[in-house]
Amino acid sequence: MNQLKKLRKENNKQDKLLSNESNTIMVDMVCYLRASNLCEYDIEVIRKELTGMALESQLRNQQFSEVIGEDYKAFCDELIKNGSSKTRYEKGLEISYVLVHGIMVLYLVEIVCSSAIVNIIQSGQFSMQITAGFVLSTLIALGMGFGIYYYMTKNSFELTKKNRKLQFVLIIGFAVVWTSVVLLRLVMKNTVLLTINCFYPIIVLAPAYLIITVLNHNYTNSFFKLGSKEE
Amino acid sequence: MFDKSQLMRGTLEGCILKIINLEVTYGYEIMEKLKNYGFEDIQEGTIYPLLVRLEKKGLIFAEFRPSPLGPSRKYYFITKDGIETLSSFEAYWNSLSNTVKKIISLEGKQ
Repeated sequence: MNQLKKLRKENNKQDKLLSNESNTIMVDMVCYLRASNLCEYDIEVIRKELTGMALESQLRNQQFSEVIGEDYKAFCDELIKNGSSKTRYEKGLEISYVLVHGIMVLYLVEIVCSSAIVNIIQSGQFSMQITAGFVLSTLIALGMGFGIYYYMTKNSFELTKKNRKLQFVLIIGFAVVWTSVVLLRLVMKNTVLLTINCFYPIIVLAPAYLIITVLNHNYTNSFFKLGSKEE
Repeated sequence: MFDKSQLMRGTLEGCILKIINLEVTYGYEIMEKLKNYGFEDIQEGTIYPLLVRLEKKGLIFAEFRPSPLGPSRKYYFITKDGIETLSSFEAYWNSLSNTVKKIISLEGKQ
């Protein structure tokens, strides 16, 4: 297993021992750190250390806020300033992973929901029409995914405060964009851009996904090798 | 009002290096020691980013060890570069504090 995933799994296990108060603070802080340029390895190591601090404070009957101070955002900003930033390579891998994974999932949904699946089952034909509706809705859905992730993580502290007005605006905004995606998909379903064998994109996307996963695996494991050498 | 945060940051880094140089220790213990020596407002959250910074600069290194309280603790060790930095900090601090003391003790026309 990827060493980073292993560490993340251990951290998730430790999180369950946290009190509700400590857990809320930890979730907000980790979300905020994820929006930053801090490298994934550093985020998980920091998470492990902070969880340890929170658990020890619980055993001392002390609030976690007394240990790290009340200004969690400032505390995280200090960590971001002092930690290691993501390299261009790591950023590239991260974006490629999300894009390839996202396109693959949306493409498989398209095969299942469009007439392609009917053609395959009924007449053994693997041709599939790529419509402008599919291309545009996929691009918007991916953009929206990135946008929501960035917004939610960057504003984790504000969103926890249960600001009803903000929550209402977010739900309406999400509904509007999502409805537009569905409408676009339906309105432009007859604008055919090209007809292809439905396996072609899978032949491209599946190896791309595998290559990115292997590169990511090697990259994250290199941090652990480096860590053990230093020790 | 005097903003002590900037002065504190550099000073604390030197003090943390000194404490780690005396013995291998962990975050909470460093904070307790600093408190005992007079840094009363110090929290674990104040020194943790500094420890991350010192580690990134290669002045200290760390390893997780089991703790009697449950979760494993990160213990800090000083590196060769850390010892050199500590020596230059001590020399600079002694000279700086003497200079500042002289200036503060001046009596001027009010």
